[in-house]
Amino acid sequence: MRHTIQRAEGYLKAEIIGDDPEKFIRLCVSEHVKIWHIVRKNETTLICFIELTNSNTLKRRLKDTNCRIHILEKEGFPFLLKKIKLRLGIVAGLLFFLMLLLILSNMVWSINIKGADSKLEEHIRSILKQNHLYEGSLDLFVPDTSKLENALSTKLTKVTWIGVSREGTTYRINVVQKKYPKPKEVTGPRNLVATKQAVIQRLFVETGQPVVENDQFVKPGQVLVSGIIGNEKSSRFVSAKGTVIGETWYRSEAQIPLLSRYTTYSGADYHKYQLKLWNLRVPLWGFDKEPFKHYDRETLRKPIRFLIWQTPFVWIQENDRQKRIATRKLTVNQAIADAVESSDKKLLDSLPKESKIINTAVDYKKVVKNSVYIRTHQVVHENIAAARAIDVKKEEKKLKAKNEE
Amino acid sequence: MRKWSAHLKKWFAEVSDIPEDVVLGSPRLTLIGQFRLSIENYRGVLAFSKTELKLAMNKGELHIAGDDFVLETILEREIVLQGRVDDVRFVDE
Repeated sequence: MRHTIQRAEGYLKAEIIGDDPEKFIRLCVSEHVKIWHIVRKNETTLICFIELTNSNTLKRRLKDTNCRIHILEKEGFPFLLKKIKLRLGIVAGLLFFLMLLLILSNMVWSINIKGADSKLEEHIRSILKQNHLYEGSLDLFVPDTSKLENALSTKLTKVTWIGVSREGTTYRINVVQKKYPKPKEVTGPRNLVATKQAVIQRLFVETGQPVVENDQFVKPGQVLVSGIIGNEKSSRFVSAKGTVIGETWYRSEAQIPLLSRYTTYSGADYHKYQLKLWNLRVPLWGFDKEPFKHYDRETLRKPIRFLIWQTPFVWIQENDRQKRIATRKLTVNQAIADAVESSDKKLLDSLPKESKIINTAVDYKKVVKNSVYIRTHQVVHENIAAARAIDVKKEEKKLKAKNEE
Repeated sequence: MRKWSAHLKKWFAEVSDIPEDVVLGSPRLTLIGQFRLSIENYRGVLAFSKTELKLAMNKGELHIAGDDFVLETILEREIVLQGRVDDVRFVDE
């Protein structure tokens, strides 16, 4: 109907009953009360639509014109509002239901972890929980999948590869666990041979016949502890065991800048939460645009879903972390000490455990373009013994030939 | 005096090319087909029924006869009637 579209305010459909209902209409028109679609029903009655006004003024008008009113219908916004008020429970329930559906649509329903044993799975779940990801958590607060992957791979050492993906309300985590090959042990008869060129310092032999002495110079591959024991007439093969500490030498180079700039996080951060609708950003929390002078910004965007659809709303979480830019100035001596330390550390990382640097000597130093360049050599005490199997048949033949001679 | 001003208004309407209904306040009737009649510059509704509408004008009355009459809109200066219009008549009293 035409009037429902045109009128937001309320109106009545009513019968005006009286001897002269036209009088009522004249009065309404003169008082600028809107009245329309008038139909004559019978001698005394007119049916019309009349704008909703104060009921007292309406009564006065009726009294003045000796008319009665019989209301047929009540329409328009004020009556709608009244109806809604009557059904407030239903409306609230509906809204609550929609809210619930919205929340449930943005919830993490399950986390599938594939390829991990139960112990690792539990560990992964505990790490995920620290990153706000668990069954029943809101997806809005869960970081990006790439960030999750980073967090997992830095904390898990037993894992070669980890992949995190999201499918709707399910997170899938694929894990490839490291499988170490079982260390091959030479269990049969074996010798201990030198791995490096060195000067023997100490010998600790559990089984076998040492064939080198202290302060002897050995070349790589040279037998240190023999697995053949006994004399020439009756010999036995054993698995030689022990450690041989040898003195070795290394050369290394290092370069350290005298002036270096580096940035550190001060620990202060600023969180911002925003709701984006198309291009409009509505800040919900955190209204500072530039909270710090120097900062790194992390942004997390999560489109809000409703059942299977994506709503135009996007949840944006920004984390500004304060940065401090500092410069470090070193004197030449400090720089050399630093360089020596770093070269020692680098060397020790490449050597077997329990190696010791006995002495570090700086052979050469130079200051080039604000950085110190040094060349050093280090004297190291380390285990140089490595097991090598004895070819028993060959050795027996050799021994036989020797005996026959 | 009143007659004189009416003459002046009529003269002004003729000279200035502004329509008479604006200047003189004389009724302006617009009939669309047979089913819709709008009347401007009326004074008041005297009687209304399904077959008849009587309006008070500046001078005299306007009687409209027909069938299935509905007063679609009533404003202070304009009235719109819907229904089958058979007869429009000015009545002097």
